Amino acid sequence: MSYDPNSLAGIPEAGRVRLEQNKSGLFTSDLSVNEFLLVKQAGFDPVGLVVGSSIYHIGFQTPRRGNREMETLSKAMYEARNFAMTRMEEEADALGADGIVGVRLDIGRYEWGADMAEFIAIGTAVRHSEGKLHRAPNGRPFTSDLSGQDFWTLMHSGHRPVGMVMGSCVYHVGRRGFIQSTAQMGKNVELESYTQALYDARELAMERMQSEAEDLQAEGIVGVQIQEKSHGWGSHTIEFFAIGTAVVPVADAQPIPAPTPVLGLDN
Amino acid sequence: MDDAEAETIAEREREDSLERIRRGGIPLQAEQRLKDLADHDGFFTSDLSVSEFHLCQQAGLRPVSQVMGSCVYHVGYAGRPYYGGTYGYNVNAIAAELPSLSHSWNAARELALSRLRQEAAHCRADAVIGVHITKGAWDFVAGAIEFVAIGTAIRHEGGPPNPHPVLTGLSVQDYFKLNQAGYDALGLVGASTVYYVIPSVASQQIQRSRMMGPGSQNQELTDLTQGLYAAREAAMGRVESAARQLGAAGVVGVTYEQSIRTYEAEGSFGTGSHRDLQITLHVMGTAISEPHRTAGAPAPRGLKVTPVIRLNR
Repeated sequence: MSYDPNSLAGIPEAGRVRLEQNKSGLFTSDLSVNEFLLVKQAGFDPVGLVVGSSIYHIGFQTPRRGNREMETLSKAMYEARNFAMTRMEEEADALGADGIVGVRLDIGRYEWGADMAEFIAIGTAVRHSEGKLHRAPNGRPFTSDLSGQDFWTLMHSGHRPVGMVMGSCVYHVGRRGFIQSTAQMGKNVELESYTQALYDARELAMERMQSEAEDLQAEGIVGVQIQEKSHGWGSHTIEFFAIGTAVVPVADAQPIPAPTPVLGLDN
Repeated sequence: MDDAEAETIAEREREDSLERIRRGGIPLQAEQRLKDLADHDGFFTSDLSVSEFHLCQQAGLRPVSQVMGSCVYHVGYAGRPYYGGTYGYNVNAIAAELPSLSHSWNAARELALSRLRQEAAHCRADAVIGVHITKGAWDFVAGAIEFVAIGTAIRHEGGPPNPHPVLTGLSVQDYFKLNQAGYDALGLVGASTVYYVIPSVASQQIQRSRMMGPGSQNQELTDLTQGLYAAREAAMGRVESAARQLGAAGVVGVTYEQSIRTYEAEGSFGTGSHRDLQITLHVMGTAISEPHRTAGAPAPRGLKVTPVIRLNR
């Protein structure tokens, strides 16, 4: 889905009404009180809870023998997440936000079978209180899965988030052949073909994430998570999904004073 | 007083309590306990942690009593929504609210919260802190839900009594911090909604085919996505209107709970079955006021942040 900053395509009438209301002052947010106060302190105002969803039908690809990527599935998993993220960004755009913090990206599959899933992205849109533009270089609102606390710390460490970057790779891990499994039976050996398959799949996902960050001219990525899930495709087909927040340095940062060591009375 | 007499009195009290419940009130005994607690200065019950209790003393808050509001509600049956024309055949997708189910969830939540508010008023509290809601089901009655809202009623020491206690989902720490930063908690705002979505004929064909035909391709089921959006906007819109009615500047700590069930439904003209969605959403958060301003002073920028390194772990 191409991104159009003025587009509200896919957002129904009731949604537009709500976004209009948000624009006129009332904000909603899933920020905790700590996060709310810290986001304020970092110089941003929450403007609204923004959500993007996509219910997606995943196409079919015959698994072939051996270790190989299942491109159709990789594309599906990426595209559906991208739909959800883009819609969330469009909502933030409609609110005139600079970006979105605390983004959660989930997949709900329920009992729908392997071919249908819901992808959902949810976060709190924020706007700089003095109107300084904090968007990503491509003009989109920035997205970040960092908490309000992490957002404050990052802003004070001389960096700011530019966007969440992700890479997906659905990989079919080939079964060992008869000869190979017989040869390895009862021995302490590395199962090289499995190591190679999982290694490759992870690399592909991370490489894709990295190239997204490079497109954003980011300095680096923080908070990368790698999720490994077999979304009901059976034990030999696994999705490797890498996601993190790309950051860029800012010139006029006020550094955090040296931390004070404390012994907390809470856990 | 002999046993028979005592039994008669107990029976009358149960009848009274039942009548109070029917009117949306709380049982007689609960009211009595709370009034007693309100009159006994000093003794209190609470579900506060030790840190919260300590902070209460620092912040000039006094716990009065743990308070509760509950409601067992029977959620009736709601079939698929009716749409014009031949039942079971529609070219376009249908997304419609199931008003009876939505109403059940909303009514149950509001009843439980209103009882919580009554309990708080009986013990002359100014606010209820840490309200958490649990939704449970019991074996003994099918199709019923129990909403239980529990929190700790507190009084602001020295302040004028508040005839309408404020409910908040915030912990004492959060309540204190917000207050220090210049915001008031105004109350819990919530909404539930249940939607039913029937896919369009095109989406039904995608659902039915797998290795060949339209279902072999990656694609979004846009009509189902739209249905989900409609449901979400209905719920979130209601939360926002509720916040507006309280004169809020915003809502923090919004929880967004979503569950989707699919129902296998038979298409007409022997076209085979497809999957409908039933979407249940619960959205809830704490409404907060505009920050207080003293005349001439700049808007408060919140609390001072001190970076620390924890030595606990």
